[in-house]
Formats: sequence, C-alpha cells, structure tokens
Amino acid sequence: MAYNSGKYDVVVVGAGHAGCEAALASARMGQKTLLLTINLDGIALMACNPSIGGTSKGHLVREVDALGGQMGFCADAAYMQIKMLNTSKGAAVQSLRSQQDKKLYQQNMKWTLENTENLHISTAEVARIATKNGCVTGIETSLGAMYGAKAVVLCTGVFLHGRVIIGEHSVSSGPSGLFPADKLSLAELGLKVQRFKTGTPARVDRRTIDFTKMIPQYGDAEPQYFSFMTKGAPREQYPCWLTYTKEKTHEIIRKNIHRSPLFSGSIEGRGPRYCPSIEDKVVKFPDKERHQVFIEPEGIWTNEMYVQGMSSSLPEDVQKEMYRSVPGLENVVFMRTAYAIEYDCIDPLQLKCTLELKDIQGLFCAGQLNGTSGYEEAAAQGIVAGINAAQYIKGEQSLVLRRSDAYAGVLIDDLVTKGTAEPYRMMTSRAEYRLLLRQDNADLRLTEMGRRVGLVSDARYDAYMKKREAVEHEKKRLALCTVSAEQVNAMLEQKGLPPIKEPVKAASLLMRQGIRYGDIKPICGIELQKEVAFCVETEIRYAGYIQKQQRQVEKYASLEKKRLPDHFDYQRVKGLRLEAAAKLSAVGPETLGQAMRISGVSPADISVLSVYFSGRRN
Amino acid sequence: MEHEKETIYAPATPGGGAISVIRISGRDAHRVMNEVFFCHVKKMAHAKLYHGQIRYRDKLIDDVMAVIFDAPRSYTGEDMAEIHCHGGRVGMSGVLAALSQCGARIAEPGEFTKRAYLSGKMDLSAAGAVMELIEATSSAGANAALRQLSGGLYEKITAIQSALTDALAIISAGIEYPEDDIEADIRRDAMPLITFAKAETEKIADTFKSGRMLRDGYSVVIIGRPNVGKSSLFNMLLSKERAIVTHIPGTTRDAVDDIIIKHGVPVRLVDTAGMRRGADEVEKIGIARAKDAVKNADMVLFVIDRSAGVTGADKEIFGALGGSVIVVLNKSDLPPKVSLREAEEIFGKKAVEVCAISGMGREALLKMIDPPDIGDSEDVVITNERHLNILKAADESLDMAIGAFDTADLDCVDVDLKDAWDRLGEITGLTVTEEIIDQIFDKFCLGK
Repeated sequence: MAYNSGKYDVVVVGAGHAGCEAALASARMGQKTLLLTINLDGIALMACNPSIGGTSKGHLVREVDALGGQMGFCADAAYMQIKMLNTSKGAAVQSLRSQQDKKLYQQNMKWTLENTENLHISTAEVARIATKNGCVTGIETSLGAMYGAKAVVLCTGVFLHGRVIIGEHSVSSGPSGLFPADKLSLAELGLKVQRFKTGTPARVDRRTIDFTKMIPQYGDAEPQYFSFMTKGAPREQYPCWLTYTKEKTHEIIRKNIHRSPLFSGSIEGRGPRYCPSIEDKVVKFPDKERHQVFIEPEGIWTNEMYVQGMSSSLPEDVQKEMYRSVPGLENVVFMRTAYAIEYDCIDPLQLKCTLELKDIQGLFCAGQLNGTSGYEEAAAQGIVAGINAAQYIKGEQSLVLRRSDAYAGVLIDDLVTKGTAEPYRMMTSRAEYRLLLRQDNADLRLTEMGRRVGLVSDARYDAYMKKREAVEHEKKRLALCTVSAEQVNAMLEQKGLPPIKEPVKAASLLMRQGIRYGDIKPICGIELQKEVAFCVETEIRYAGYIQKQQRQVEKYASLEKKRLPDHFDYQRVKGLRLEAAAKLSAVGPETLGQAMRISGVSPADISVLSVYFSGRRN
Repeated sequence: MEHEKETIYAPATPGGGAISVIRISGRDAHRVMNEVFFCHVKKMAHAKLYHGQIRYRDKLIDDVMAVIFDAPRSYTGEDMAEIHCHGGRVGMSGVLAALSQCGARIAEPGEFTKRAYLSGKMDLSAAGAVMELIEATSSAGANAALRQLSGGLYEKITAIQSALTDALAIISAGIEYPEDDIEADIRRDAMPLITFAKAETEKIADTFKSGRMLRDGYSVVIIGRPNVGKSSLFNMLLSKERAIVTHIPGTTRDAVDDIIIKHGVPVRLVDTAGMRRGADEVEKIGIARAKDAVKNADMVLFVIDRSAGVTGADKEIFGALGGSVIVVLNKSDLPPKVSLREAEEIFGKKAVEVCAISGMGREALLKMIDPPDIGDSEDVVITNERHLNILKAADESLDMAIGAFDTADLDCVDVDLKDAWDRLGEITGLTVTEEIIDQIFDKFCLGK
C-alpha cells in the first residue's frame, strides 16, 4: 500500500558514479537531498575494471574535481597504482590513470555521502516517477513509499531492466549479482528508450596465477593526483601484469563462436566498439596473432584479479578453457564469471545541455542512462545534473559547459546534439579545442564556475587563485627576462641542442623541443610548485596553438549564445531545406551553435535560421 | 549580424577592365579605409565619391576614387567602402594586398549577398532566390556543383582527406590507447601519408597558375627606368603580329595590355610605362609599380639603355625583381657602354640585344618568351581564388604538422592535421571527427 514518506528538494535515483556526484552537489548546494539505491553495498561500485582515469577520462575526473566534485578525492585516497599516460605525446593529451582498491573507493565515497549535510541515503527500488502538468513531483518506491520532490535526478546505470547473459544462460539482473530495477518504465513517461549492452571479464584467484610468465607494469615513482586539493606523501603501489593470448586461445573462441549470444543474435543491445569482447576482437581481426591481457588487482585485501582484455559472453566452460590457454593462467581458478549485460537507456536527444529532460521539467538524467559508458563519464554528468537540479529549484542560472570549457562540455554537447548509437566513451579526438582543455588547467578552466554555484570551498578557491596568479606572473616574467649565451649554452650543449649567439628571452628557450622548466630553472627560473611549472611551460610552448584555438572559439561564440526556442516546428521556416528542418525538429537545438553541429544542417540553413529568428524578435 | 565579425573585401568587377571596383564590408570597413586611403578630407561622408591615393606603409600604391557607406545604409547593411582603382591584376593586387595587411580577409563567393540577407536588407519573400545563391556557395551545395564543374577536383581533394584521415587515425589510436600494442610506428606510418597529402595539395594549388594562365594569359611585364625604351619595345614585340593581336577592350586609360599567342597560350604584355604618373613621384611609383607588377608576372623583361650603361637606378629597379627575368639591352644601335656578357654577369640573368626602333633582336627575344605548354592537360585545374586560398591554408597547416613532428608534440601534429582536413572540408563539405573515430576502430584492434 502506498504511503507518504516525506518531502525532499531533490531525489537522486541510483548511487553509482553519477548518482553520488549528483547527490553530493545538490546537498552541498543546500538542497535537502535523498539518495536512493537498490543496495547500500552497491554505492560507487566499480562493476567493471578496477581503474579510474585513462586518456581523456583523467581529464574528466580533474574537471569534476575542479567543479567541487568528489571522484578525484576518493580515487586519490584509494589508489593502488597511479600513472601519467602519454607523457611523450604532448601536454594536451597527458592523462592520469589509476588502479583502485575498489572496496576502499566505495567506502570512501559512502562515508563522504553519509557525512554530508542535507543528504539522506536509503535503500529502495524506484517504481514510478510522479509528474503533474509536465513537471516532476516525486517518486514512489516498490514498497509503496512516496517521496515528494521538486527535482529528480535519474542515474539508473545498467540496472534498468538489466539482463545478464553468459552463453546460453540469461537472467534478469543488475551488475555484480545485484537486483535489477524492473518496475520503473521510462516509456510510460513518454521517453524514447534504447537498449545497450556492455560486458566485463572474469575475476580470477591471485594464488592460481603464474606471474613469472608475465611482465610487471608499474606506476609512476612520483605519483600525481587527480584532485587539485590532494596533498601528501606517495603510498605503496602495486603492479599490474601483462600477458598475451595464444593462437590456441583464438582457436577455442572460433570453435565455440556459435555458442556466443552476440553471434547467435540473442543479444539485441548495441555494444561499444572501444570495449570489445575477446570474441569480437578475434572475429574482427583474424590476422592478429595475439591480444594483450592485463591482470589487475581488484583491491589490497582480496585475491580477486581482473583480467582486462578478456571480457566475454561465451558460456562459462568456454571461458575457462580459453582463459587457461593464456600463459600464466594455465591453472587459473574463476572467482567471478565474465558476463554481458543489457540495459535500458534513453535517447539523449531528449535532453537539454543542463541534462534536464526537455519534456519533463525538473527531471534530470545522468550516466549510463544517457547512453554513455565509463565511471568518469558518469561522474561528469552526475555533477552537472546535480548542480542544475539545485539551480532549477533555486531559480538560478543553470550550468552549461560549452565545448571550449571542458571535456564534460564536449561529452554533453555530443549527447544532446548527435545522440549516440552505441555506448559513448570520451575520447581525446572528440575535443576540437584539445589544447585549451588540458588536464593541467582543469582548475583554471572550471573553478570559477564551481564557485559561482557554491560548490567550491574557500580553501579550494584560494589554492586556485594562487595557482592562477603564479602561472600568469611567471609567464610574464619569463617573457621579459633575458638570458645570455654564456648562461644557457652549457645547458643547451648538454641537451644536444644548437647554442645561441645573441641573448634571448627566457620564454623562447621553453619553446625549444626538449627544454623543460626544470632545465632553465638554475639559469633564470624561480622556485615553483610542480603543477605551476608544468602549466607555465605548456602555455608558453603551445602559445601559438592556444591562440589559434581561442580565435576559433571566439569566432563561434555569438552563435553559441544565440538561443533557439523549445519545441519549435522548423517546417514553418521558409527557405530551410526539408532534410534540415526534419533534423532540427528531431534534435531541438538550444542554440544556433548547437544547430550548426547537427549533421545534415548546412551553413546556409544556419543563415536562414539566423535571419528568421532575428526578424521575429524585432 | 553579430556573428559575421570579420571584415571582408573582394573585387566586385571581373578582372581585365580599365577600372576595378573593390568592395569592403564589415565592422572595420571604415577603419581599414582610413588606413589605406588618403584624400583631401579627414573624414569621408556617406555615399560621396572622393579622389585620393591608396598608400600602405608610406608607399603609394594607386591613384583611386573611393566611397564609404554607413551601416545600415549599404548593400550589406554593414559599414562598407568601395575603391575604384586601376584595372587588371597588376593594378588591383597591390590594393588587395594592402587591405589584407589591414586585417580584412578576402570574401567567400556570395558572402556580400549573404551578409545583406542576414542583415535583413533583403526581403524574406526573396528568400527562395537568395537561398539558392547561398546554397551554391555553402559547402554542401557546392559539392554537387563542384563535381560537375571541376571534374575531378572533388575526388582529388577527398583523396587527400582520406590520406589525412588515415594519418590521424594512426596518431589518434596511439594517443587514445597508449598501452595497447598497436603495430604501428606513428611517425613511420603517418609521415608518408602526410607528405603525400602535402604534395597533392601543392600540386593542385600550383594548377592555379596554369588555370590563371589560360584565363588571364601568361603575363610578361616590361620594367625599366624612364626613357630606356619600354614602350618602343612593347610596340616592337607586337608590331608584326597585329593580325593575331587581340586588343583587350576597355584598356584605353592604361593602354598597356596586349596579347600575342604562343603555342596556344595567350601571352599578355604589360608595359609599366603607360601607367599614370603622379607629377613628382615618378621614380617612386616606378619602383613600387615594378614590385607589384613583378609579383604577379610570369616573366619580366627588364629593359636598360645600353648606350647609357648600367646605372644606379637600373640596379635599384632590378633589386625589386625576382623570378623569371630577361635583361633586354635596348638601343643596341648606339655605341654600347655595356656588353652582352657584362650585363649577364652583373645581373646574373640571360640578356638579349635589341633595337626596339629598328626591330633588331625581335625574333631572339620572342624565342625567349616561352610560356609552359598547358594545352591539353587532362588534370584538374583550379581557377577559383577561394580554392587556392583554402589549399594554401591547408598546405600551411600540413607544413606545421610536419614541423611539429620535430619541434613540438604529437598533440600539435594532430591539431595541425585536423586543421588541414577542415580547410579542405571547406571545399568538399565533409567533417572529420566521426571519420577518424571510425577509422581508429576499423584499423586497430583496441580496447579492453
């Protein structure tokens, strides 16, 4: 029997990586917030790899942190290994990647949630979203509890009508054996729903692995952290291990491929290309002699090891046979079987860039529900949705991240402009203003925005101001400081670089290939924090590129600002081509800038719209 | 419109006439005019024609008439200006160069009309017609037209783009998946693709010259200090060819261009002597003109008065020349002060002895004027200046990408390549991001 269970400002449904950030943001912004989860032990669960960060994902974590989010903090507190990737490929694409103690991460996040003012956490499966006149009014749980809410943030992950598939076996389930959310129907709310699929490899017993046949992979000796606020000495790090599949592994897969649900057609969901199962890889690249397999610890206090590279939905007997064909895994004992999981998500074209649904006021969506994949992608959307739910209730200006502000902005803009036909993963290639969106300047880009909405503490804000000043000051100083040939030629010679004849500005030294701040420091540098020095050398080195990208941003700035009306019938605009009108009506862009990025909309169509709407305003 | 911030310029009249009109439109149109145009009033009034000079960095470029229009009382609805300068490529190019130095950029085809449309200067009822026009100039619409009109250009450019996509996929795969064992050496595998793209881009860009040659002729400019006999030489070269000479109409004011045909290519002779002279600045103008004329010339006939020897003024003019130059030793009927060999040594160029009055040496000189044979090449030839500019910009980005391999980092290479791709996309109307991502996953086995 349904009963009234109280009123909140914001109810967050789901306590995965999106839900945690959304709930924290909303509560920290002063909104009375309720976080509901199907299982309290599933809070901040890393259902797949024991890792946070990676290329472009590391950027997202730093952006979440700069806005005042939690993921970076918790990851810094629970790392088992930390590594800066791509250090040789340029400052813009460097990214931090960490191995995590999963349980410790969860514990940190849960403890943070439990001790956040204005935030309650409860176990419940949400069965219904209540709406009135196109506005959300609350939710009802499967046990009949009704909560009133001014805003609801849905972060259902892979729980919504989740189905786990292992070979011929299939069962209604959430991830890691947790209950699925089977009662809630988004179609009932009038939403367009799609079905996606993802998968995870087996976990095996550390004691049954022969590490002598594998190559150890270590972290950085001097770890850097995700959060701009994390300080402290480095802790002990643990290696991962690299091994390779054999031709025999591929034979086993080929021999049994007919038993794969992916190839027999019993999985209907669309899977991600960048996260292929081992059978996908073997089928698609038959000529590749071997595939990498990384063995990664799931935690300090467990023998479970994650077998990265071997996710699969083949039957369990085939899985065991093929895993045991890999050097070092000959006698491996399975602790958890690899599986594929299918789930409901929405077509993200139904969202605004605030992550609010266009058609249901006060209902926000974040994470895998929006068609993305990855913990970091989820967290980034979570914090944006949480902030905007709070701003919506307060009646204040929402937070919209543009493509030139953040990877998170690229992510959301891609989702709401292009939709996605497969689980969307953040990639460096997707960010056109990559040289502006570096991980080293995430705080310089976003702290002000976090401050505006009230998520950035005084301590964080002070640290940001100090860094900003230090970077600017040093850039100016180096631009003016002149060094002579006698001062620098010894260093240049040592580096195998051609000497200088005339005196040069210190800044121009940093533009030379292979010269870092540390090299000029004894000559003309000052004592700087490592991250400040890095930012200075990067901004000097890339100055030309940065200016070029900034000019591009400015060129489109006014288009990005020009608002388009909601629910507009573009067929009414004379002169617009039919294809463009149909696309525009389907996407419902919020700005002219967004309209410009819709495929099938030409510059001419944008001109027509521009005239049409400026005429109307007059 | 506020998003059309850049100030643009373009010739509004076809090349070849005696007078060319150049239009300027945009927020900075009046500032640009103030920087290059000098006349008797301090502030020009709306829609009044003024006589004055175009100067850039104190250098006199041309004697012109000019007018400005205040927004919104102009064709585009923006601040506008018009310059009526001397016609032909030589006359106009100096003015165009000065405008671009002042921060304006060359307009895309139809851009003035587009701006007029966007400013609401055109009625929406005219939308249909205007849209077609704009559509033709927009990248998507241009595609179809392009394929029909320029034959293989679209295919050529997409081939370059596809090489760049492959290079980008190699680089991006390395960046996105630093720990995967991609069996690719980024530099080794990407570089040939980039150099191919660059070579192709340059090859197509180079065809603009022959394209221009077919349209405008192979231009041969006659240069020299006053009274060395430039006009006589001009007449001598044309004299016996009157039957096949076409007089370009409308050049009476300059009376400098004329055409002879050499193996199918029109050769256009330009006599700088015929240009209008400011009373006291003859030398200055001569040198300035020489510089501009030479910039667009395919060949220069540098004339000296052999009986006077090589003077300081000769050397000064020669110093401004470059490219293909023939030294013409005129007045060879008079006692020479310089020999053929001495002249060739002094200038380091081939020389020829003529007497313009008698016609002596004419055949030898004509033989030396030798335009390239571009008769029946099947290759794509570009004639559109916008395409040339796009190709040049793409080429520049490719140059930077190659440089960045050595002097910067992979992320810069990637940005430059994308830049080049996007530039070429202005011709083909394609965009890059999804293509690269598709390529990455088609080419490499990646992901965990």
